[in-house]
Amino acid sequence: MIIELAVTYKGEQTVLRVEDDDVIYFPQGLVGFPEWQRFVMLEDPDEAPVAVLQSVDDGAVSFLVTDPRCVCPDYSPDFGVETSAEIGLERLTDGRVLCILVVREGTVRVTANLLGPLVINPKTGTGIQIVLQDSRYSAQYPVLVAEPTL
Amino acid sequence: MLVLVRKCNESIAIGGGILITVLAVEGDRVKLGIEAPREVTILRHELCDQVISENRVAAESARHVAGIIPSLRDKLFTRKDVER
Repeated sequence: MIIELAVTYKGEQTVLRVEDDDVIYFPQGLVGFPEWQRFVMLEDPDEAPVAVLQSVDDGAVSFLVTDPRCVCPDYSPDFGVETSAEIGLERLTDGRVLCILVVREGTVRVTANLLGPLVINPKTGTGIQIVLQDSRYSAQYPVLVAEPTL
Repeated sequence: MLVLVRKCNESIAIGGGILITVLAVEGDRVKLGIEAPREVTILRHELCDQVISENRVAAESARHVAGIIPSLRDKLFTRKDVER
């Protein structure tokens, strides 16, 4: 089944057509936003490792995401057994871990939320956002800071 | 909000199998012991708030900022670096 969704993608209003099978389901939504449960990953090879996690529930909601190890190569949080159980992963290494890249609108400053990673089970198409128990990792890990223009 | 006053070593039982015990009071810091079933998530609330705040900002800005992706890619470690 195809879902049609009006979105703003790469700054342009467009209609996205996605397969129902491609929808990733977050049963608990995102932290603080339980209503955002269905997403699709939009991956443009020219933009890798950055991808867009687009909400299917609200065309206006999308997130820039990436593999957190592309931001912090030795990223190795302790997820705990409950995380794997929540989305049916036998081993956490079977899952796909993403972090949200946060751009402050109006500034050229990008941070990565390493405190609240997303874990996706590619086999079942389910996902969860975890708040890490230890604050070793920052919710605003700096990635890009504007260079002043002359 | 239910407000209770507890002394050191006194406890509060919540719902199905959650027990919070005041272990120590040191100045303005209270040490709490929490027993709960494995499936119950226990968080320092301010960490949760930080994630919620970042989610909110990210959701509002992502559709406006696709133009930043090329600069962003330059700052990220590639998969090759990561998989070494």
